[in-house]
Amino acid sequence: MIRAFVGSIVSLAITVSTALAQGDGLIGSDSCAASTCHGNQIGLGESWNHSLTQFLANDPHASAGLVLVNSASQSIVRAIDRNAEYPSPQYDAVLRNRCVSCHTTAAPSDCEGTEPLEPAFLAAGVSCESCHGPAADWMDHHTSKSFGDLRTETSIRDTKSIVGRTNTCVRCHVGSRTEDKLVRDMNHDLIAAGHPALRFDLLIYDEILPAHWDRQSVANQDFTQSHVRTRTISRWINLAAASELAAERADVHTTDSSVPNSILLSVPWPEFSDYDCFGCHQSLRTLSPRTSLLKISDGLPIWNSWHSVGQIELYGKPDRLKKLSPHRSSPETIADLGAKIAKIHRDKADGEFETAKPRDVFDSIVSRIKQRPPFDWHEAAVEYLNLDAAVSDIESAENLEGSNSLRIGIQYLGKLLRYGDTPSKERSYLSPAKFDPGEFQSAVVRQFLPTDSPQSH
Amino acid sequence: MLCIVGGLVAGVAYSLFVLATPNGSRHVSTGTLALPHAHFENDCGQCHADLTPISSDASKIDLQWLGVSSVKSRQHTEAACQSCHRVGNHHRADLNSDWKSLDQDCASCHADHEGRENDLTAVANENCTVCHSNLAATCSGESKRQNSISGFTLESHGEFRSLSEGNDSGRVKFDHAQHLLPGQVEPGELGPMKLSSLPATLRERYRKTLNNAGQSDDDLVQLQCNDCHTPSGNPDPRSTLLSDRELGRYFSPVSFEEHCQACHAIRGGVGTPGTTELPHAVAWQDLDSLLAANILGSRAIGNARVPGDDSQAVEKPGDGFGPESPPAKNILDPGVLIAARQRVKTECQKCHQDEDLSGTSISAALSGESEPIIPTRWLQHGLYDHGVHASIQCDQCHAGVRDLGDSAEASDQNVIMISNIESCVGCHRDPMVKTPDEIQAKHEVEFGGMPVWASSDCILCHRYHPTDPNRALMIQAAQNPGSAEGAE
Repeated sequence: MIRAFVGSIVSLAITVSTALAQGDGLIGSDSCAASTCHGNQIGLGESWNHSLTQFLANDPHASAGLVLVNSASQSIVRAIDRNAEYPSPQYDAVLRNRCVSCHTTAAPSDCEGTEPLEPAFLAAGVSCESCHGPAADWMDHHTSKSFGDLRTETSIRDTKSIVGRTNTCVRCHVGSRTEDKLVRDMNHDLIAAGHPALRFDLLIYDEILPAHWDRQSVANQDFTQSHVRTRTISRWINLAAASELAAERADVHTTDSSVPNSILLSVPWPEFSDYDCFGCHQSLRTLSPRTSLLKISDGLPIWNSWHSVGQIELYGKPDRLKKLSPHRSSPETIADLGAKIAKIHRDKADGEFETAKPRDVFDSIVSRIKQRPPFDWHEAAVEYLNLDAAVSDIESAENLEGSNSLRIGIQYLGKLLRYGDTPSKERSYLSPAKFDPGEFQSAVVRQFLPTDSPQSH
Repeated sequence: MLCIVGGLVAGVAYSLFVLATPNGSRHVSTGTLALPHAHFENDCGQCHADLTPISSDASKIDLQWLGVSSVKSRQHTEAACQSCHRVGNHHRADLNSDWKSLDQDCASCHADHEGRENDLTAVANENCTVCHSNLAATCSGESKRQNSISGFTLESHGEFRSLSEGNDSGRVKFDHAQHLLPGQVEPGELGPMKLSSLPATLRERYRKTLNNAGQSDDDLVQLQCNDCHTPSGNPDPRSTLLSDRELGRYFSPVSFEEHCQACHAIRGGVGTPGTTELPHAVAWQDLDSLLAANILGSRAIGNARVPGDDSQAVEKPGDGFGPESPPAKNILDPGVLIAARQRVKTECQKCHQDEDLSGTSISAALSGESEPIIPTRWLQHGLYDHGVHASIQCDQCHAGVRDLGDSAEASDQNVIMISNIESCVGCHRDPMVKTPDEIQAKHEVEFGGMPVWASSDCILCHRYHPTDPNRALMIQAAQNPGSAEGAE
């Protein structure tokens, strides 16, 4: 009796799910799951044959929708709307308005209204079409050998090239207010409510993902040919996306825009997540170790520090910082600058890339750090990423063992950058308060130039 | 004197008649019985009764004044035969009175006393065409069959009705042509099935030797007709004929487990190593528990990521390797199960109509209450022995299986891909008709060396007497003429 009852509920839910079909060319990933297509057992056939089973089993994107109903998310939603207890229509309304555009494969219609969210919709998470594009206009054709000639005429996304893959990821992992006609704006309000800040790096995220594609394929070899190249180009795209988001946020508040009040209120200005978190979130002691190394207490935080460091010179450039500052600039200026910065870096990403020898890249970074310690945690983190890429390329070029001295040195630097010593569920609330740029510099010199000594700034 | 001479002449003439002619010899000796009846040859009473003729004319002889009744004769004839041969009548209820009588007269088709080698089952075509050349004259009402069949040509027989009228009644979406292609993909298509796509335990079954070389795991799956269509015996479990089973006259029903599962395993997207394939055709609520077991089980043994697991194999600046992996829970989020079942259902819809996927339909199929989704019999009014035709290439009669068609959608379920009478009459023809050139040309290869002439006797494909699962009805039919249905 109970089984029949549960079965009937499940059947009804499926019927309703089917009826609430997504729009905008989204057809769902159910048909991908056939054993002869992408749903074979992991290990049988080529990688494409079990890509969906691999994805569903091990990819964090598959459960990104279910994350929205766990305890941490319930806390975040309550912080946004104190009346939004789980489960309730108010809860689902917050999810529709603020969350599902990134955490699920959503159409614009899924991001509005007050209808309860279907369990299967959340359970599907960020599924195939989120990254590969709405499948309505390419599903029937993508099995054809000649489809390659038609790809650009369909909604299928480029996930093979560095630029294509980064563009696919940054729509959610940096954000956008326009891509796919969705608002994916994880702003300071959400961070304040408890959402982790977004610090996207394509190489790390790519390595974390259980590959549901063939990493050894010719197409993927371009991606992994040079870690330095991949990281550099992807960081250009990251900065471009961050700049565009900043410009889109600013656009809402430019004086010549006629925007409904509801939207004005939903896009705070100034938008604090466009700036270095730790520029504000620091100890207020007089002799704060977070005081700028430039000894400037000017209230000019670094703009989009995670993305801009190493790409735009902002440290010690107060004029630039003023133009991008939250209180000394204007939405119009930031909208204009954001668009220009984005274009510059998209053009760089689309252009030729001169690949230097990994050892030369590595040595130049080490030399730079030896000359001057990093200004702050962000700069140190970016240098760490650049060193990591160079070491990966050296390991490939020189066929080094995994436990080589360079890799050990990189691992040590990683420990220095950690917010805490032990894995913590609340790491999003931590900060690099204990980070010491001088110690980082010393560690670099000690690990990679054992006969040299660091120079002070 | 004259009378005596006349009598002597008549006697001599009669003696010559008796001694020299087959009909005459019957006056002193009726002739030996065929071998099946030989053991009671000396016990005439097994079949004969006084004043009760048994012959092809018995139904007409009615000499009441002598005590010879045609009705009694027919009843006696039928009862005598039915005492061993319990068969039904041939549409007796639909025949007018003259032809009813003929149906009851077994001897009209099965005449004995023709010698030991006489084949009692070898009924001449004339015994069939006497009615079927003009059914309107024999039936009491309107005949449902073709009115005039006088031979076995397209003109004299017509097409096989069950193949030419209506569409394929099967309800499985299947594309034969695609499945027979290498890798089961059409030219110009990606994603062919390779042997490596199949579970290791099943690869040997599908591994072929092509161009004198055995296939490797990296080679394409190449299906042949007998990968799915295996000869077997009579599916009717009552069949006790050993030859029926040995000669492979029939084909085993296509079974998902045996013929489809190797490539089309049902997983619902849950396919970590060690997970079990889902069974075919089970109630949905039973499927739910198996799906849940696969999902939770794979998480429990570390083959799948637990939702909420933010641990990382690669260090992120600041976060490090993230928090520790949370323990696997033993409760499945209902949304996950719903989504998995939807994937299963979508996979089912690849081959099945929606109406066959309801709980009611599945229950009816499992209990045997509903008709099989793939018809078990195609020739409704004739018999075909695949066993004797085994040398002939399947394409000769099933050419439609290679037709890819214009649409990407499977269309086999709408087309009966069995050739009609035109594929038979080339060989099954009058012995005086010369072998057609196109048939002769196929003798060695396409026909596998089979003779290119075969009999066109009606009884080769048709049976007069019906089978009946309830044998008691047969006896009732014998006792009550006109109460039972006829045969093919």
